[in-house]
Formats: sequence, C-alpha cells, structure tokens
Amino acid sequence: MRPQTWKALALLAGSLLLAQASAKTSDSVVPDSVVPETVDALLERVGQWVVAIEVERNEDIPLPFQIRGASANQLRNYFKRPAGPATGILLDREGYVMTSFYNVAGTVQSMRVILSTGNSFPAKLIAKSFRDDVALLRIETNESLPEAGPIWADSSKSQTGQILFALGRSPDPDRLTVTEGIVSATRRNGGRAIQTDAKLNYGNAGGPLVNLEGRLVAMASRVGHTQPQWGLNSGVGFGTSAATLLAILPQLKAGKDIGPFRPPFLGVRGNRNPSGKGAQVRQVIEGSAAAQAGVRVDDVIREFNGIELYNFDHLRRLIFSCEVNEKIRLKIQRGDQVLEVAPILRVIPRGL
Amino acid sequence: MQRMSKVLLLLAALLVAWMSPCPRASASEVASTRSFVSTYRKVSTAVVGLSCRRGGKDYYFGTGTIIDPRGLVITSTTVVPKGARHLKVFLRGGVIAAGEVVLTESQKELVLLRVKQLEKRTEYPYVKLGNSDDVRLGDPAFTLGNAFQSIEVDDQVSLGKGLVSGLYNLNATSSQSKYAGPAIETSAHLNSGMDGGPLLDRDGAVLGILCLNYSRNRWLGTAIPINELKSLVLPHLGWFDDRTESASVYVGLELEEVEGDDGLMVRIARVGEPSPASLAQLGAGERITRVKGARLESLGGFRTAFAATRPGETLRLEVVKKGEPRQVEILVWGRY
Amino acid sequence: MIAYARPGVTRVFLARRSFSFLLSAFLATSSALADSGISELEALRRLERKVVTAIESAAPAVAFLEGGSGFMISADGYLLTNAHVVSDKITNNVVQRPERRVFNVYLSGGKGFVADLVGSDPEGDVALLKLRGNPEVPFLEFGDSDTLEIGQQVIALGDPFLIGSEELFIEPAAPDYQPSASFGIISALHRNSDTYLDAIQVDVAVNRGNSGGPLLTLDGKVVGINGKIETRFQAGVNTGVGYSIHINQIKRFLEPLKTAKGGVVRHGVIDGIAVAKHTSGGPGLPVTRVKTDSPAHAVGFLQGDRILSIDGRPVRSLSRFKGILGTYPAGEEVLVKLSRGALTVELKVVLLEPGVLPYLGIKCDTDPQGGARIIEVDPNSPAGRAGLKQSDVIVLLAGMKVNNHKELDDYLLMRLPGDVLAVEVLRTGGPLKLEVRVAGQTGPEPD
Repeated sequence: MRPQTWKALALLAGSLLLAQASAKTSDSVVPDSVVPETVDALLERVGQWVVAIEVERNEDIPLPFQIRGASANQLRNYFKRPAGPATGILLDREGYVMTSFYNVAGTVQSMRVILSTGNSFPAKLIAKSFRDDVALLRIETNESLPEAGPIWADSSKSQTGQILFALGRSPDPDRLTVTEGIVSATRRNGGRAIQTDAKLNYGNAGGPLVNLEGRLVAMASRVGHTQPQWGLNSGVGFGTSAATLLAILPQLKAGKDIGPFRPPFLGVRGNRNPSGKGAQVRQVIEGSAAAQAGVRVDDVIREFNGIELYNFDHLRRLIFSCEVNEKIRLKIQRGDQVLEVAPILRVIPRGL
Repeated sequence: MQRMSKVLLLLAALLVAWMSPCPRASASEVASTRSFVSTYRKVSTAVVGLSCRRGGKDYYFGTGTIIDPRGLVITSTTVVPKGARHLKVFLRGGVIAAGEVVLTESQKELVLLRVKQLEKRTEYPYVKLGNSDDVRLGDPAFTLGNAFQSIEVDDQVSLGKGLVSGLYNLNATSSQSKYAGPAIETSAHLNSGMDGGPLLDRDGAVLGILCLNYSRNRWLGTAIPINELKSLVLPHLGWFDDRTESASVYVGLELEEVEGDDGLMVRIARVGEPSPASLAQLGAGERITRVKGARLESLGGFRTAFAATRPGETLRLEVVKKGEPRQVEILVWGRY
Repeated sequence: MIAYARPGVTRVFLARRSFSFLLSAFLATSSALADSGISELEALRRLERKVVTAIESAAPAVAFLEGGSGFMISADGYLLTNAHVVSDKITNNVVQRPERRVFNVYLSGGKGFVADLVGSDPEGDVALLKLRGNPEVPFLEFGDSDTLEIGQQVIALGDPFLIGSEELFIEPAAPDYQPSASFGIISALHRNSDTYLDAIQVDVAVNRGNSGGPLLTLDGKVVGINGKIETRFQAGVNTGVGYSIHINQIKRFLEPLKTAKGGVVRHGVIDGIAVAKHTSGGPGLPVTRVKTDSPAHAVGFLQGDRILSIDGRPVRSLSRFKGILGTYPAGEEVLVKLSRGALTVELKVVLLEPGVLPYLGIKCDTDPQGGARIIEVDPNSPAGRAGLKQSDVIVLLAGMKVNNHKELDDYLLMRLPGDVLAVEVLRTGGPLKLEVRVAGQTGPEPD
C-alpha cells in the first residue's frame, strides 16, 4: 500500500481507540435518564414545568412605603411592577400552578397561564399564603396536561453553599431565563425559606430555584415592591422551601388561605438583671399571658422552660421560638421567694 | 492523495464524530477557574477605557475592545456619541492615546474607532469575534470594562462573571440607550462605565457589546449580539498575523470545476453574503478565467494562487459573464 | 468542511485555508475527547462541594456585631471588623476616633459575648476587638492577598440587612444567628475608591450589614474584610461592585492595633514631598516638591527624582502611590527605589504620621456638569478668607483642570502649606478668579 494509505489507516486506528476511551469515560457518569450532564440539558428538562402567567388587573397593590427625595422618580420607576408576564411553576398534570402571591396581587380581572409548549389557558386563584408569599392557581381545562410537574428536592438536605439556578419565563414566555447562585442560608423565615444570592427580580419571582440535579429546592418569593429592603438582583433573595410548599399545598388546594404570621406574646418589658443573670421585668402588659399568670414588675425571670436566661434578649428569643397557645414554664425570683408560673402564650395584639 | 486514502480519511472522520460523546461544553468549572484567570490575563490587555467630551461640559466614559492588531476598537454610542471630541483611549500600563472615530451606526449603537499610532507601537493585542448565533442559555459569560472608571483611575479592567441568562428582544428604551432588537442578557454584572465593553465567552471571544438598555422585568445587563454588528465591522478588520490560531483568509466564493467546450472551467457556484466577493459584485454562474494575471485552468490553480494571499491584500481576477470579460479586484478579509 | 468526489464536478468550499482537513479534524476531536473526561455539571458538583466545605469550616468564626459583621482571628478571642461598624461615623478625609466602647458580640448559632475595642485604624477602616473572659473560640486563618488573581473565586460571609441578628426580618422571629454566604469572583485589585486606597474589587454579593465580614478563598482562609459597595438606580443594594480591604494590609496593622489600648493607629506618609499625578514621559512618578527641613528632605529626596517602586511595588500614578502607602501604619520602614538622572537610588524611609497637611477649609462633592462643588466652607479657613462660597464650583486650581472632587483633593495634596493658588470657580452670575493661600492642618491627635 502507498504510504498515504498507511497513514490513513494508522489515523483511523488511533481515532477508534480514542473514541473507545471516551465511550468508557461516559459510561462511568450517571446515565442521562436520571441526572442531566450539561446545564443545557438541565434547563431543557426543568423548563418543561416553568410557566408564564399573564395577569390583567384593574388596580395594583400600593407601595407599602413612601418614596421621597431627589431620586424619587428613579425609585418609583424601580419599584413599579413592569408590564409583561410573571413566572410560575406547574405542579402536576391536574393544572395546579404555584407562584408568588405578589405576582397575582391587586384587583385581578383575569389570568392566563402559558405553558412551555406555548399552549395557554385561563387560570383561577385557588388560595394564597401571606406568610410565605405563595399563591396557588389552577388552569381551567377539562383534559389532564401532558406536562408533568417538578421533581422535589429534600429540604432536609439543603446546605449553605449548594448551587442553585433561578428560572423564569419573562419577558418572553417562549424563552426561559436563568440566573445562578448558591444557598446563602437555610431555614430563614422561621425555617420556612432558604436564602440565595442568585439574582431575583420581577421576571423570576414565583419561579423555581433548582439544584444541580434539576430538583425543585424552593420557589422564589418576597421579590417585588412589597419587600423593598433588598431591591432587585441584590444577591439577597429568598425562596419558600420545598418542604414548606409541600406542607401548605393541601390547605391551599382546599381553598383555605394562610394568613400573615402572628408571633406569640408573653406581655413583659424589661432589661437584663442588674445583679447577675436573668430578665428583670419592668412592665407587665394588661390582660396579657404574663399578667394572667401573675407576673409582677421587678420580678426576675431566671428560667424559661428549664433554660437559664442570660438576659432579657434571651427571653425574647425563646418566646419567639414558641407557638401561640403554647404553655410555658417560668421560674421567677421575687425578693427572697422563688416561684413557678405557667402562662399560655397568646397572639401578639395589634398595635404592639 | 489517492482516492482510497481519501475514502479512509472520510471514514475515520465520520467514525470519530459518531463515536465521541461530544459534550458541547468543555472543561470543568473548577478547572476552568484557572483557565479563565489566564484567559482574563490575555484578553484584558485588549480592553480599553474610553473618555470623550461633547459640547463644552458633557463628559463621557466607558469601555472599548480592540479587535484587530492595527488598533480597531469597537464600542458604543453611549460612550462615544456623535459629535464627541477629545477622544482618549486608556491602554494598559497607564498609557493614554488619542482615538479617532471610523464609523458610527446609531441604530445599533455601534462605534468603531482607531487608536492613533503611538510612537513605538505597531501592533495592539486584540480579541476575536465570537459567534453569537451559537450562544445558548446557561453558557458562561464574562463582562469586562471600565467599571466606575477602574481603567482610567487604577489601570484595572473590572471583571464580572455569570451566565448567558436570557435571550430575548428589547423593545422599550432606557434613559441611556435606545437599542431595540435581539439582546443577550447576562447575570454577570454590568455597571457604570462598562457599556461599550465586551461580553465574552469562556474562550475570550466577543459574544456581544454591553448595552445600557435592559428589560424592566429583569433589570440585568444586556449586550447587543456581535452577529448583529458583523456586517458593519468585518469590512474594517484589517491585516493580522497569519500565525495566530484559527486565522483564516476569506473571500466568500464557492467554486466548481465544470467541463466546458474548451476544456475544464472554473465557475462560481455561490457567493457568500456578506463577503469580499459580494462586495465586488461577483455572482453565481460567472466564470473565472485569470487569477493574478495567469490563466486559470483548474481549481487547483485557484487554490495555489489563493494559498499565497494574505488578509488585507487584493486578489486580481478576470471574470467572464455572458461572454463579457472584466477585471475584478477583491480585498481579501481576515476572518476568525 | 467536507471534500468529496463526484464524477465531473469537484465542489470545494474555499471558505477556509487552514491546516489540512485531516489534521484539524484529528486535533479537534482529540481535544474534545480530552475535555469530555468530566461533564459540565459534574464540574459544578465538584465546585459545590468545595464551596459547601469552605463555608462549613468558616461560618463558626463569623461574628454578629450591632449593625454589622466581624470574624474571629485567634482562639483566645481577637476579632476583626470595619472601623465604621464600631464607630459612630467616618467621613471622607476626616478621621474620627471611635468612642471607647463595649460591644455585644454573637457568634454563629447565637452564643453571646462581650468584647472590648482593642484598637482601630479609621483611615483604613479596620478595628480590632477582643472577647472578654478568654473564651476558646473558632477562628479564621489568614490567606495571602498578594497571591490573589482576577477571576479567582471567593466567598463572603456576613449579615446583610441584619437578617441573622435582628428580630424583625420579614416578620418578627427569633434571630437565628446564621451568617449569610455569597459567592463570586475577584473583579479587580488595587482599587482606589475614595477611602479604600488599595482595595480588592469583588462581584460577590455584599450589602449593608456585610461590613466587617470576611472575604474567603475556597480554602476557607480570609483574604479581606468586606466594607463598601457601589450601587445603581439609587436602590442602595449591591450591583456587582464591592470593595474589600486586603488581609496583607491588615496584617501590618495587627501589632500596632494590639498595643493601641483602645486608641487609633495612624497610617504613615512620606512627610514633606509632593508628587505628580501621572508618570508622563518616562518611568517613575516625578517628585515635584521637597519641603526644606522636612523628614523627606532629611532622608534624601530631591525634586526631580522619579519614584519607581515602594517595597518592590511599582508606582505608576499618584493613585497607586497613595494606594501602596495607604497599607502601612506609621512607624514602618519602606524601601523606596527612585531614578535620579542616570542613577538608581534606594532610600529607606520611615513612614510618619502626617504632620502638617495642606488645608483649604472646604468640603466638596462632584458637580454633575463637572468640577468640584463646594458644599461647606469654614469661614475661618483659607477658603473662607479668600471669598469662596457654598455652591461655588471649582473648575481650575493652579492652572489645572478640576473635573471632580477627588481630583481637587489630589491636587491639593501636591501643594505645601504656604502656597498661593489661583482658583477659578463658577458662580451664578459667572466665573470668578480668586487666590487662596494654603494653610497647614495637623491631623487629629492620637489617644
């Protein structure tokens, strides 16, 4: 054979060997059916249950704060809900869609959900959770949808530092958007939400935060002008966790709203015990749990449910960790006496 | 080569292409920490700060990118508006040169300018133009530029890292930018002074030019895709060193060899658009009879003459259309 | 690009003249195969593990201070934070000594301590505290900020918007004392941003409340203190540009801070020289003035010298000159290399507390149309006596164009007390030319 042919054969053999080697390497990776291997594949898979929501409203909710000053116009522009679709998550084939309550707040005339396939359907609000900024919608259709919903992540396995993608379908419902970040903290908002530094904005509020396996870790919430503290894309964002979403879903599906959080209330004001450890009571609120249990001014609360108190702040933190209607035990020092009382925590009264 | 070898080669190529898993992305995030760190070191030498004045008072500052070794810089009209004067180019090492505008296209917010030759400088570091049509959601993307005057004041090209976070059309305008059209959105930061600068892919090729318009739904940085600008930019790209990687020469001709009455002829099958050939108004069906003055009798002959051409040179052809011969000169492009 | 044979017609794309088809195909495929060893997402998973581990190891050493963050640097209870977290206020160019105070400090998880201010460096925005009672606490190891590279991945830990330490977050809740983590890269180095003269610029998300918290590399070591951000849209939140004080600067201040007995550690300057703004026309920053009988004169500086480097760090601009010097406490000795004609001279210079600074008596910001706009004039100062008024916009100083208030400060630093300067201002009614005699002002006394 001619030398060129030898060359060609040698190269052919070499290429075959290399191809074999690469095939072996790809076998050692988890097969495609379970876990995607490229960002592209992950987005394509997850994007199937990310939806756009078009909302027609007569009136929007007002800004919960005043904007004044030299940059007032710019800030009003910044905190204004933009035109265009919001994002939501298709939960199942029955057409339930979850989104941020902010996205559907106001006097809503009609809503339309646009699926990843481009098909769109009218939708109705079923219920909402003020506490978590979640709204449950349902698509109005007689048929069950071909699209399946998300695969949920295990919230107990969330760790600070895990990588997340925040997805949206806005401004263009046909095209997915994505921003990346990490879990900044777990168990915020009373353990119901995670914090992320992925950029969250009007376009992806109500959309999913997914992990590297494409599982739903949380739904981006608390974005929008009801929460001006952290603005847009600041790197401080929140998502109601999968565990919370799954826990509230039955109640929402039943059409029952979940109200805003009302923290538990004991009814004392005070300071650190000047002569050592404990919380010194300087005021007892009339009619409160503390008043009813017989706590008096100048009492020093030494223990809360058996835990020794450092100072008054410690007492307040422990109260917040309890539930409304929970009975607690307090060990009180009154002069030379040591007493035990068992107030039942109430809901914090309005105005306090 | 002999036909047998050609066939074997073809088989080899096809086999390899078929069997390799060919993931679209290369190199790991962890590994590529090092590779973008080193890519940044190279490409940041081609990113410049820009400043100019308009009217007596208005001071503009922003970023530009050098895209050929003769100092052609691409930037935006938000950095160098029409009528701007005292155009300064801030190069690495605190060197300040003057610049002069070559082209302004307001609808695409495009400005091309040239760095006026400094005394000792003959060649500038430059970056390649990428292919924005190939961009996919989730690809890594990097922003570079004169963030809050970091280049002007500290000789530092600020870097931002993120993804291609969205691909959509911008229709409304912002207070500073009127660009309407397809945009590449990025989660990499875009701050004051970075407009006009480059959006780069992981290999340091330009995917787009950073723009001050944004979607009100997203409030994230956007870039005008480079392919939107190529037809305006490519004719100005000049000569470059042929030894750089992926360098190639481009005329935009697809030729075929056909049997004619008087033997083999070389005929134009297709003309690329835009290309030097289309600018020279060559068309399909025309026959090329001479190259560089010599009679052309086969494709091989054309190939030989073409092989010796360098970007920026002119290629002389004699072309026959409907029996009418004419002389044509094509300015050969360099192309990435 | 395919070559194939067909009887009668050979069609070839002449789009490319490159390596022979075979070789390029072979090389392209083999490189793709080499890279495909691990997939894109597997690479992200590996990165994720590194980030999770780094945060797990560092978070216990993060401290929550009132209004900001900090971090432990030794097992016996020293902790670092920004001076502005523990002081009442710091204003541009004016240094205020923080009150001697006792602080409540919480570590991750909520364990509470009391800490004393050991020393502060308000010019550099650093403060050192120590927990009382010598408790044993987790702490962070120092990295080496001189080896940082642009593009390198970093993590910030802290308490943005006081989410972890306040009781009112979205709703009343028990503060969980969980630090927030964010991830990003180093965007630039040696940035001169008003008060931070040699800062690391990062795109990692840091916001109000992150001040004083650590900037970490992926090995969990601290390479900076996060302290400042730029904002956009007037929204007051992070937009991708944050500034951190680098740890090698802080290392130099550690011993002086430990012995400051609650007081202030001053930065050192080369007392008695003025330098040009740019090198223009040759290597080295020109020394434009040397004051007779000053320490700089005594150590051997001459007018016309061109400063090449300080402690090996090249000096190419006034900004960089200030930036390098800004990382040293007073009392440290630096090696200054300069060129004098054809010679290279090396001077060992002890940096001193600034004695007499050039002083006009005005506070300015930048006028949107260009120039330094006066917002306050001390009537008993050189500016007051010269007739400068509030709202005047300074556009020319001693023949040099003033574009912004930073430039005005820079120009002023180049003058010496006693100089008479021609000033041109814009006032409603028209431009005005005045003369001001620069006075000397001693910096605030140390404790």
